[in-house]
Amino acid sequence: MNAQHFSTPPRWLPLRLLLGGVVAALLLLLTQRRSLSTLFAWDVPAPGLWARCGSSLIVLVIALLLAMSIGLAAGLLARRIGSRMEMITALLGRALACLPIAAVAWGFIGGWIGHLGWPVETLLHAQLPEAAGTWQTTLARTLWEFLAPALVLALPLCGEVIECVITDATATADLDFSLRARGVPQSSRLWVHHLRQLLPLLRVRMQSLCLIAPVYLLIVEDVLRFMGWGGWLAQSIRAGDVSGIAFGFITGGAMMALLCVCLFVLRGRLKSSSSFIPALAWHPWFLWALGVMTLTNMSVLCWLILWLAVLVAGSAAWHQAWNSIEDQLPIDAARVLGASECMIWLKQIAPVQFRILAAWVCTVFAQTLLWIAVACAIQPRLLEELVDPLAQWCRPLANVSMQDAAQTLADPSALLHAGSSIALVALCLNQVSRIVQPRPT
Amino acid sequence: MSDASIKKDAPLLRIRDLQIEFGRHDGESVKAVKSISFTLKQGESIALVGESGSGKSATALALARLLPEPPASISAKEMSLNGHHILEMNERELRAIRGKEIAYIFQEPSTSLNPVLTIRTQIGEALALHRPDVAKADRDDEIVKWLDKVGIVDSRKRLRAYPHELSGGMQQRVMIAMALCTQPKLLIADEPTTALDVTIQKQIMDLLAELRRDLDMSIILITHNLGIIRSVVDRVAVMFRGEIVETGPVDEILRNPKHPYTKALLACVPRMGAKQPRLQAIDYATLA
Repeated sequence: MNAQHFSTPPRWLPLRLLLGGVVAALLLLLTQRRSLSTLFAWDVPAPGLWARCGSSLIVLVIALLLAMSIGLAAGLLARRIGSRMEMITALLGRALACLPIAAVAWGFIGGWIGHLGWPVETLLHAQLPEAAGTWQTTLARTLWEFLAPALVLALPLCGEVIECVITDATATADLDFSLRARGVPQSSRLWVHHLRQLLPLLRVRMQSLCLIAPVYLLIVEDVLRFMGWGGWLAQSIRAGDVSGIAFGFITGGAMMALLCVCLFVLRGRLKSSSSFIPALAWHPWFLWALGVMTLTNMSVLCWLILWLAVLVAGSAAWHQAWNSIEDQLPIDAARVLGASECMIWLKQIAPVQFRILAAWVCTVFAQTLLWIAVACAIQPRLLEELVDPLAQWCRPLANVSMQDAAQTLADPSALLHAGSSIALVALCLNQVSRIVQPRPT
Repeated sequence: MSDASIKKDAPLLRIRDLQIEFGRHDGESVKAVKSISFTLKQGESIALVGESGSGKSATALALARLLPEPPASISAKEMSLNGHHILEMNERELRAIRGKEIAYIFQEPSTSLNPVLTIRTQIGEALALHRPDVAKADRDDEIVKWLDKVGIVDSRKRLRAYPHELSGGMQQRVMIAMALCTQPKLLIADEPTTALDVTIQKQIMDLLAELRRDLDMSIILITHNLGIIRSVVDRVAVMFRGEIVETGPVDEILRNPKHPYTKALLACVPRMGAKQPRLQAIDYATLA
């Protein structure tokens, strides 16, 4: 799973994302001793970039809407069927979320073009001379142009939402019994009472996905050759274009902020977090890490940056898990019974902290694996520093040249093997993390 | 005899030889209720009294088939409510009588009210489901009428309140209003005051007694506290280990208990002013 574990966002999240993007861009330019005028001369990075940002925003909105509606429908239907189906669906959701996005994107092209023989509009423009002028054809082309990346992007996001809908159900009040006693039909129990309780939690989850989705979009647009912000930023990262990357940070932050603002239409709010750690964690660290990694040739430093991003982004999960459990520990009772502080720490705090730490380590390893796959897909030079079997798994995901792409499409077995291996390891680590993680009663 | 008086005398609820079992993973089942029988006329009220695990709540929930089947298995020679044979009804038919003919009030109001919906939406839903005679435009007035009836002050203002904005006592009053607005024939109050403090307990019990008189409604009151039932019910059935061990008019049972378990239960009730050096614990060895 790549989205953050449940932690409430800080106050003014959209503004923080916007300002965070600007600050990250400025720091990037300053470390490279570039003048700030490079940043403010907005026509410099690429002509037509605003249109590209608009296109990407449309793709992101479609993908998030698709993921939310499919995830909600699947999660709630699983709940309706029963607890076993819920468990299976949650596991499938987690598995889907663990698929490397590059494998999904290349798998989509392989299946669509290689197997079905249908065109992907951004790759192979369909020739329809007799109907080329009609508005229906234009609409269909435009729709398809946006739908293809949105569908690919929606797949892992959908897995995340399914898992979240089912997991968050345990945090809502179980009113089923009293609603049955009132004669409320099952559909109302599910789609009115349960869904309304889920919406505030879902909004937080969707906001968390808004930080991940633009990073995935880099890969999707790059693979599908979509003329959007993601494709352009992926090229900038690959070329080491600092001003382009800085501009990508700003526009990326703005897009995330806009998406978070749009999510305010979902009813119900949770209290914002006021502590420092969640405020720090709720930033697009992975996007920034991918950008900053290009600036150094030392691969050790690259991996350290990525590792730090994973640690900072995951710190809120630890903080939230500990906060929710700490109140339930019988620490005061132990003090009343005369236990020393050392004994309390050894008997009460340390075992719980150890389990939280073990769960967190597993999650961090799973996320690191998935982000290594993302980083290698954008920057294939990083592959050289990886050891087997990690290098073997990540190599088929990095198709930069036409030859690589043609080879992958001709024989997708290596891609599928790589994607499924990474997904399986990440899924196993996530499952171990779930088992080890202590839960508040 | 007139039709009305025949209808009045006909039992609203008739239970004969009700048995409830719960299946277990090891194959053996546990008998929670062992062959109990009682009848209840329209407007009559009964208290099912007993300690935790005596089968009183299982009995009450079985009346609307609310227990999950399986693991529960309910059987009876007769179980009818207002002419409906409960055990022969399907889920759709049961849904139609739940809330409409038989309404429940549970112990903890905060776990029965949806925290993200307003009082208006939740009571409005009950009206929409079971009172089609109330037009949508009149629904607010009807809700206010019932909120007034259960003693909620400034009721129109409370329509837009969420459950967390109300105290525990107020929430329980809302639950009572929600249960009664559909004008059920039978109200089952399953330990309605256990989660409330003592002064609120008294208010809620007085409210139930008053509403019962005003609405000519039958009540089954489930409680383990014999001290609070006098003002609300006519009869008492004392349950012990899944059986009714003693039944009779409330005054008689309270004044002259016959079964040792009833005597033991009464001895557990603290009395103001009475010289009792220590509350007695039930000696199960003498009851077995």
